[in-house]
Amino acid sequence: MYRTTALAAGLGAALVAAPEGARAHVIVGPRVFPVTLTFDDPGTADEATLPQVTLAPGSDGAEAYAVQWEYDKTITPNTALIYNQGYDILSQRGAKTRTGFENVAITAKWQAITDADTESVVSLGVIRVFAGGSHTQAVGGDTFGSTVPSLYFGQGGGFLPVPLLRPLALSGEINYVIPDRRLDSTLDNGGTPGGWTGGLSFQYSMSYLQTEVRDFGLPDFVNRLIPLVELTYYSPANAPANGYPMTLQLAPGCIYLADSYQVGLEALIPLNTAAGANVGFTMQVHFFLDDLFPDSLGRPIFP
Amino acid sequence: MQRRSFLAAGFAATILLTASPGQAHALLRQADPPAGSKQPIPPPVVTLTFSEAVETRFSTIAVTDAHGKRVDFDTPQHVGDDPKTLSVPLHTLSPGTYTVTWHATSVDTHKTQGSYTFTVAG
Repeated sequence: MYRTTALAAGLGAALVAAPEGARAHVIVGPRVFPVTLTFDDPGTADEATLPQVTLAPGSDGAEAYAVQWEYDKTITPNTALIYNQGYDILSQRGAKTRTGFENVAITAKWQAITDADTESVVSLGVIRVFAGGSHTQAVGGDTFGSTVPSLYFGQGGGFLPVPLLRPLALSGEINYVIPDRRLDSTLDNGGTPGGWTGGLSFQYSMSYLQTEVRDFGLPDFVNRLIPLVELTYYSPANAPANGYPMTLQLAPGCIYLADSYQVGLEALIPLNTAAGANVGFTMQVHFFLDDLFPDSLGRPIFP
Repeated sequence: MQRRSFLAAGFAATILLTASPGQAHALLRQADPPAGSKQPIPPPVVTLTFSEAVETRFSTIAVTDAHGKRVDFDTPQHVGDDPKTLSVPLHTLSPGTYTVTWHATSVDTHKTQGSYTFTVAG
């Protein structure tokens, strides 16, 4: 789910898109789909983000910081419940700093299709965003909840005819946000219009290059890198949508994929005015609990 | 916030201090012959090195020529006492391109698979 965060007072219509928090990695045949930083990845696993830290500078000296965390727990091998939350700090020169927790989000997810031969994976999910209190509202969150049906997908490039392109992969997420309180024609009921959100990533796996295509004898550190570009968006679903413009954000960066954890770093580049005024950054540390604790935390409740 | 951040940091530390080492998905880290390589002389074996220990009983390596004919023999074995390796001997290879297809099961039952090609020079 893609959440917009209002900066401190005085920024007018400028909005900053804050990543929703990192998610799980999934292995499909020879392909590892890493945890993407601005939207969810296409599978289910036992994992945790501790933490993801985001800086999103606005105009006129305003800054937004977010610290987010997440825990994924598999119920069966292909289903999981995912908990996400974060804490935001919005500051602006000359104004009081506002702080507060983000809305809690719980996702029920099912990894419906996994095809190792074609490096394909599709998952379905429903995100329930719970209502927040006044502190949540202070940092741009909602005092009401929303329900978000979601589709996740991943496709590896192993089928491509050009060998050096085979380490490429595509992953994405599509959501439809249904707020508990929909903005009505008065534009004054405190609701939101809901809408479509999602993300797309283009990844290049150096590890896949080394083990599936051609080993260039590069250092091990390089062979664990996954350069990638993520694109996230939001568009309101229905009129009225005043005050909720479409936002588009690009997030280029790189992931270091170790055996039991990963570290990612991306720039957050607004592609339109509504998405923000300046370039921000997000950094994530993510643990693969199925690899760290395969006999306890890392096992499904119902194997 | 400070209390929750402290808890989060403590949880992270707990993970790092108490995690079981050496138990994870067995990802291929090194292959011999390497993927995409051109070998001046036919290699006698294919050796794969993984990130974790693998079960030889539940792992396979198949090496085929351009016509799909198997050119390996015997079941995969560890190299010496190294449980992170799998190796299969090969018949004498003629010049051409060969495909290595592997399925690995780590000691904690995670399964992985992959394939790559190498060439024997003429």
